[in-house]
Amino acid sequence: MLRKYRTVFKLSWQNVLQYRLNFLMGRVRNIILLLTLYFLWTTVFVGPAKLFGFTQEQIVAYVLIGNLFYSLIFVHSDNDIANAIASGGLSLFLVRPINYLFYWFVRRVASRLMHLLMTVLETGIFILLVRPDLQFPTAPNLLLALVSVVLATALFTFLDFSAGTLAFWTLRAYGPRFALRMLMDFTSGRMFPLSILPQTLFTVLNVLPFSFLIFFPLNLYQGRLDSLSVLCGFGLQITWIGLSFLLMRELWQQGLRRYEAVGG
Amino acid sequence: MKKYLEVYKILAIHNFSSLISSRLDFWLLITGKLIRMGLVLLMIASIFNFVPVLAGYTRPQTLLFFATFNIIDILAQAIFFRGFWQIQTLVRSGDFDQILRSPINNLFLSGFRIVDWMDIFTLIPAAAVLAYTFSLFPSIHWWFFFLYGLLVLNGVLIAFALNVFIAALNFYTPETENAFLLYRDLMYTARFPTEIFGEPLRLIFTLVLPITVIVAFPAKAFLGILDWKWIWFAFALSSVLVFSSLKFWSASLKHYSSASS
Repeated sequence: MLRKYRTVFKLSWQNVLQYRLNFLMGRVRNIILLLTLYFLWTTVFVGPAKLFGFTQEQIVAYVLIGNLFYSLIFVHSDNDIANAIASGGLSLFLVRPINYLFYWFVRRVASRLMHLLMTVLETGIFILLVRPDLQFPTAPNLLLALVSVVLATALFTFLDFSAGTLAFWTLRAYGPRFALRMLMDFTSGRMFPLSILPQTLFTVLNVLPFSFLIFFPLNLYQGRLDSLSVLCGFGLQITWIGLSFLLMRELWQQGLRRYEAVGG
Repeated sequence: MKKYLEVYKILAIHNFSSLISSRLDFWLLITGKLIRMGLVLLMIASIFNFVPVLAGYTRPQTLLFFATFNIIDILAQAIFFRGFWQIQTLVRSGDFDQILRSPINNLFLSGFRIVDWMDIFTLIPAAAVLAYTFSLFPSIHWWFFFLYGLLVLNGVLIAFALNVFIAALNFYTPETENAFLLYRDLMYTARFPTEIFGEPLRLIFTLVLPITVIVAFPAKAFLGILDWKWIWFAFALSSVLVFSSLKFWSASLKHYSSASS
């Protein structure tokens, strides 16, 4: 059972390394975003000691650790799933003894590990060059953050797969997938701590699923939440995981009934 | 010239029909772009709730950088980016042959084949943000508007040259997807004043990867803080880049192997 998925993992790993120039360019892109965010926030903090609950050291840590979490969590499969549905390539998988969604999950675990390794290396070099005053978390905070990252990965995977399956209804589902990507990227807290936003918007974003992808794990890492908020946060994160799983399963089952295997 | 305008018109109508055939996709793609633009705008506005200046620029001045980035980026996306982006697919499949066979200049057809109507629609809110930003500078002389317009066009020309360079790489390697995305990410850095970056990054963004010249120069010229020597440099740079990109395109075409066709 597991052997075939181990093979999928191995092949995916090799696949990433096959297109080395493309992979390298992708890493350069990550460094550019990291640099932009780092310089932006250190510029904002020239002068004031503390803004929106962050010191300069804390915001730098937020950017760097946020970058690590992002590389682990945000690995998309929606494009491949949508293309397989639109081209009929999905048929090949439906007749094989393989769980299609698990297949993509395993493939993306390989990408996640590769990206994480590179991000750790890049962040390490970045820390050596910039020498920011990083504050390390306490052991319980680190543990809570890691649990939350694992849950965030599950949440992201279900949302991402749901977006891909929309291709059963609209050709390749470019529009919904792009809109969802933008929402996830900008309201997850990767670009900026959501607490800088006006209070009402912050409150709304705080209960949406996207803030549980980066902002909540980062808050846990930096020990910004009291016990009750931690408990409520995990409760909401798990609720969103359950809901997004049900949504993904429903979309997949309904979609398969509509699937016409055009071109497959 | 008339023939090319006619071809462009036909392609634009064709693109519009194709896009609008899936209305949900069309409007959600525009929504995604507006979410991106709106949230970065909100981020900038929120930062100024806490600090009076960013890298020495006030809120209206920082907004000007953001608005200028949007206008230039959207113009480039709407006019030629999609066409050049799609070349990788055509080269890989061998379908680029069709472009070479047609009696229209191959660079024109490659770049201007796809008119991105979504970006044309996104141009409306971007223009509104720019108009609002201009209204924050009530006593600016008309000459600065004129200079701003010239440098915006100059920025679009430089963006065109960079796109040609990257598109031509497709004739050497199939791995150009991230090169295009890298160009996009570099452009995104210009949403904020380039003064946030320390040296040597700022120098690199001016001389090597001229993102500063594309976006920050028009904004700085409008604010009257760009030296004349840099204005001349911007025009000289666009001339050199456009000329060399056309030469590079022609030379690179010889490497096209028509694989898979």
